[in-house]
Amino acid sequence: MLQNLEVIELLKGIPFEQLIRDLFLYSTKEPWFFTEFSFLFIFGIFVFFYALLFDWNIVRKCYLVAFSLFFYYKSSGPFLALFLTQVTCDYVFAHWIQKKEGVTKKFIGILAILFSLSFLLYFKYANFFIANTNALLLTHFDFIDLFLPIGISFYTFQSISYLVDVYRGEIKASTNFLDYAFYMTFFPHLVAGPIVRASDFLGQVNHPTRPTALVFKESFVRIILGLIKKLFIADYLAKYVDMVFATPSFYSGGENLLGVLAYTFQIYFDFSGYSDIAIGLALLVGYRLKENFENPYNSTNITVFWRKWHISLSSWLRDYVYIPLGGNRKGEFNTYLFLLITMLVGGFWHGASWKFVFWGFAHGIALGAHKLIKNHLPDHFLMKGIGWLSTFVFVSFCWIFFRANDFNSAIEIIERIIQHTQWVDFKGFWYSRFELSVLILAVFAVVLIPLHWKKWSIERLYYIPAFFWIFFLFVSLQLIIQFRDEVVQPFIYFQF
Amino acid sequence: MKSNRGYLVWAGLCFIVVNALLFIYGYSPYNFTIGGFELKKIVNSTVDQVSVEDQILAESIKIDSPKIALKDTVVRLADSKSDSIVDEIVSLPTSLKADSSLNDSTHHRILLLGDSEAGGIKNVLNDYCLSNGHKLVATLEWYSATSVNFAKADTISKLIARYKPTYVIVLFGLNEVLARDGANRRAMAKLFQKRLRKVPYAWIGPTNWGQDFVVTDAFRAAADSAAFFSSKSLALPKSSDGRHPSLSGYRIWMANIANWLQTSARWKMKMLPPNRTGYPRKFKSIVFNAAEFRGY
Repeated sequence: MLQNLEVIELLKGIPFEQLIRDLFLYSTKEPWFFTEFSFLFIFGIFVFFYALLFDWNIVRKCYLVAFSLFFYYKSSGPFLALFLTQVTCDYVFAHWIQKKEGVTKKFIGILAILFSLSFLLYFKYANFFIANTNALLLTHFDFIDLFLPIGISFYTFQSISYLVDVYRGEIKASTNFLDYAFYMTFFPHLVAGPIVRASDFLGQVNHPTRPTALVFKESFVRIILGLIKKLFIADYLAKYVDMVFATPSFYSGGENLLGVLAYTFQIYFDFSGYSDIAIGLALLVGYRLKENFENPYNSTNITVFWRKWHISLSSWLRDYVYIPLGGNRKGEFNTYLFLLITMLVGGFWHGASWKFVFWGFAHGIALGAHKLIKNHLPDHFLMKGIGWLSTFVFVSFCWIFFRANDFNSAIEIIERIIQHTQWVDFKGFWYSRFELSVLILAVFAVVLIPLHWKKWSIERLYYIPAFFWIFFLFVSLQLIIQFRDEVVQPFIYFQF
Repeated sequence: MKSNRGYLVWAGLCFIVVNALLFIYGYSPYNFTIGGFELKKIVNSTVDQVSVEDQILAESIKIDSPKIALKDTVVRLADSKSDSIVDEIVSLPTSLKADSSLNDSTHHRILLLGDSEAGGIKNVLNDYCLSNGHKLVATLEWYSATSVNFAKADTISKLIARYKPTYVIVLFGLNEVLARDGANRRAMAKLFQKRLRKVPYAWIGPTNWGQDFVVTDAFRAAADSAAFFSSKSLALPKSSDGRHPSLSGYRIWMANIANWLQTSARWKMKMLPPNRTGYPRKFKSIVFNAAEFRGY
């Protein structure tokens, strides 16, 4: 046991002033993520007082909105003002849309959407348009020094869905600004999704799920699993992925191939880990967000893959781009065209670069091709195996363009895989990077396990009494510290 | 199922208690081990920054930071594109003061940094460390490296942050014994010295075989008083390459260094001759080749 003097000496070593500054002030070098231990600590304090305020509805909502705004401030600093402006304007626009009819309603609807989109277009795509204008017209416009506000792609899509739903009359504009602000600012989905629909969430705002033992355990499982997925698996894979994608020519064909495979798993564990944490945090405070991933790499065709991958985005694209364009109601050719346009929008949403557009284009073509042939495919076990393999290979192939630094780099990786892959590369990889090889094999096995098996095994954990979960949390966090890299990688989807 | 706000209270307490414990452990000077594995810390304390003059000087010479290979796995600690000086945060050992007693029984975590000569001496040093209750935690053999590499790349700060040594032993300079640009070498050595971040150190000069022009003096000038051990006058058996000491040469050299560490070094430590050789080598061995990263 530590003696009293030793305890005092130990406490004297803690720079409290600096800690408090780090905890409460925004730093461009260390924006807040769910994986920050300082966030988890502050979240604990927040939840403690949230419990005390749980039954006072208005106070509870104000408290949660204040924490969400604080969270956004810690993530994006001064862009909080921009975010609040957008939230307020959308609230006003939605009421305006609801009151009007006919052409005026349409005009205000378009104006509201353009207003929402304008921030995203400016911050995310201005330099892309300047670069392309310069290239096409041989102009010399200077690039603008812009910093992308974190989460702008997500909350813009969320506000558009709200405005469109109000316009269509599918939901009523929220009559309470606090409720609307609660929906828009709710911190678990604020900076990297899932993109939450007003119709799914606004109804919950005043009726949160009450805390029970099951809710407590479910939340903890999601949070701990998410942290492990992100900090333990994705970040470990990232080390190798970063090396290969930075200089593909330094690595053999086999190493490039395994780099692509590692990235395929990295992006899944990174983003699904984030989603798990978000869902777990939301559930702990009484709100159920929809699932964002459902074992996507187990899909036997590309259509099913898109029903299981980033579900909130793919369903958003379906409901607000594909169906409004005409969906499958305007002939066969147009159906394929609309699919392609939808996926191009999806690709462009991910980033202002042609490589993302190409990624979306490739998926659009694949979705169209699958739609064309799906009725002619035999419903056979073997066919499902071939379908799974081709889907997995295709999705992994497309990730090359998604991750590569540029188009040329992506082509170089593909060339090296095709022309320079030898059996000995894999043997060498196994011996020289044994831990990584084991991890890749293990995550491969995990993604192939059917979803209901995973759910069943997780449900067994719910039998453990709530008291013991503090040990699970402690052990998992210490394990993460033990094995993580010095620098925690930011979530991949934060940049979108 | 029965609803109870107590679950929320307990959830909050779980996050508070667990994170508070991890933070307190992170800032404490104690290190706990479980089953031979040391529990890593969440945070380290801050240290001072490199001066503006040194940064300006550092900017004048460009060099990439290499990736660090640990065992079979290449671990990327340093951003290869970054020339910036990383303000790493490392814990400052409180147990060791300048001119501490020879009878100091502190068990150190030792980090050895150096060029190919560090590679030669590491196993001998390991015998000394284990025999005296210290732990050689990691060694960096940076082949063909000069003071420019050690000063300019942020690798050293990263290694110190990673392994949290309580004592650093530095041994390089063989690749620049013929250098004559004393001012540059002094500046680089000074910059490197700041990268040690106030961790107690012993700076061993290179075996120069009498051909040294400026490097030993430059290093001595950069090091704190009595923290530099000159190897200029040592006559050691050479290996077959005619450039490095042989194994017996390394043993003689290490015996001299150990004697100096016990009696005259600025930060003294117990370093009696080992009671045997061939102790198990449990330290992390990191190997770079500067020829692959020379950016000048």
